[in-house]
Amino acid sequence: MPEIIVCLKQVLSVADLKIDSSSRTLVTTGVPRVISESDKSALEEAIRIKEKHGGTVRVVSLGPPEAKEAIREALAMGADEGYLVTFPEHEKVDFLGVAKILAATISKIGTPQLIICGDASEDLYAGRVGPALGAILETPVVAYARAVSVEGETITIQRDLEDHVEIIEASFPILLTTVREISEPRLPTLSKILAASKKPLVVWGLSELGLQSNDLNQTLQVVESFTPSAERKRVLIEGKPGEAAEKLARILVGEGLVRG
Amino acid sequence: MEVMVYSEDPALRAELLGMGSTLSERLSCELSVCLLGHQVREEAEKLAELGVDKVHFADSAALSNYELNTYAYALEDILKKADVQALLIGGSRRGKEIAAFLAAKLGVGYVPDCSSVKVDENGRVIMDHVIYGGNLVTRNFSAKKPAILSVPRRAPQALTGTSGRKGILIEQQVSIQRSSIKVKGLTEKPRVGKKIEEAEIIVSFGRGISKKEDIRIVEELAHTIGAYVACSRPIATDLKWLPEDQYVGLSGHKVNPKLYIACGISGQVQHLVGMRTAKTIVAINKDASAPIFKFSDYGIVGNLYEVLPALTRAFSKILRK
Repeated sequence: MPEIIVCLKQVLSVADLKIDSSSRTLVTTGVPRVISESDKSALEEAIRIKEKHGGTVRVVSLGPPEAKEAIREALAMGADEGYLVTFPEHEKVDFLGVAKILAATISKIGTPQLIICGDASEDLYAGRVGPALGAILETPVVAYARAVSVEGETITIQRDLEDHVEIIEASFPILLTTVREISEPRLPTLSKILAASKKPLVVWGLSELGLQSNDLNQTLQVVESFTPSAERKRVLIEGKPGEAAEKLARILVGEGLVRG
Repeated sequence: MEVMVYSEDPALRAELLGMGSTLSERLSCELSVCLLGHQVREEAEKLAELGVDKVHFADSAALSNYELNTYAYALEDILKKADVQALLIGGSRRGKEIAAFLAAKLGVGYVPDCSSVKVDENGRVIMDHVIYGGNLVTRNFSAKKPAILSVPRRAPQALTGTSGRKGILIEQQVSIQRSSIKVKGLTEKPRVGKKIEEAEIIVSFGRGISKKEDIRIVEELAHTIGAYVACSRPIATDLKWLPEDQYVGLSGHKVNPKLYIACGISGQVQHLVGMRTAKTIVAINKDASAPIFKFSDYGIVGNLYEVLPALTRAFSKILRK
């Protein structure tokens, strides 16, 4: 009967981001916010483990007040309780600060046997917080899980490496990061969505966690940011398929990119 | 003072030495490499010949096979005994997980997939981080040392380099953290021919191909020009027309070929991230407004089913001469 905590991040939908061509900055207004893909799959996996073995699934997230929607969605999918940590400067916290906050949140709830995080969220695609959280909690970490099975006190994990699949056997407590392919997230039914509004959704600030903003000094600091220029030729080759194909073939051979 | 390099993968480690060497010169410090394993003294001696000042190695049966938790504590011990300015880690999945874990243990900044690093006027190590699907680059430094960065395979700045240096060997005694984690097996993923990351020319297709049997037209083109066949994620993970080691994208493979021909791929950010560093990009798509054309050097707006066979014929003709 594992107690499970899933860490979720609500992210800007990366496919909907645009660059403002005059100021060359990222336009984020009007961009929808979604639960990161790999976190959603992680949550689905947690719910499946609960459905099979019993236990409780709690979700934890750090974000703006609007992230309550993400927690509601998680509750509708089948999580039992949700915890949102929010405070005015939450966006300025670096990955170490995020891991510290999540660790404090988890400790306050009560450290579970199993913590699951998505391997990386699609906004930064950095994959830092999962292993960092395990390091801070001193909980063993197994990352990039593509399949998980629980038998009593033993958990067997298939890890997705570039050219290999690694099989790991471990016991609880453990922190897993999971790849997006681990589970296809379910779509909550209307009755589940309604039931979700009755489940506990707790909102905490830093003080409830016993933290102050100077506990979260930015170690990783940004000196500048910019939008990279496209730098591509963008030559469109005209003509009917046969003609265009011949022109292209001649260009590519001429540039030495295709050789006999 | 040293710049340290580590990868569990010897090939990646070799790539890191060039970048590490340049960085250590800019910081006017030594270059060292780290090796963990069992009965590795001989390997350590060979590493010492590769142009580093120091080889730190830890030799223990408990380190025979890579395991994140055991290796991370061992590396932490080594790092604490040295004065490391920057730690370059090979950007495999194993490298990235250990980099993040170590960064939290040491309380230092870490930038993943960093292919560009330099030293600014204040002597700070500045690491580029490409985010939001390639739409934004942030330049970062770590307020505490060592700055940690993981470096992707074949990053433009990574050259294998040697200098006249011959390194000294330092055997380190490290604490072995016992945990319940047991590695029970390692199986190779089925692979078709050579690795996608090594391909010089890639012909990739997306949903513009409507039936599995039609992949033939892509394969014929690829065969004619000696290219590797790849695809976008939905083809591999949803339709399962190709194995997963052939898909390119944010969660798939990142490739850096000389020539990338994208057929019937719209150019979604998640795909672009996997191939945007290709030297030359060609797009073929029937939709003139597909985003891929903005990220291409050459494009043909047309029907794949006509253009691809025509291309195959055109190349056959030219290359036969």
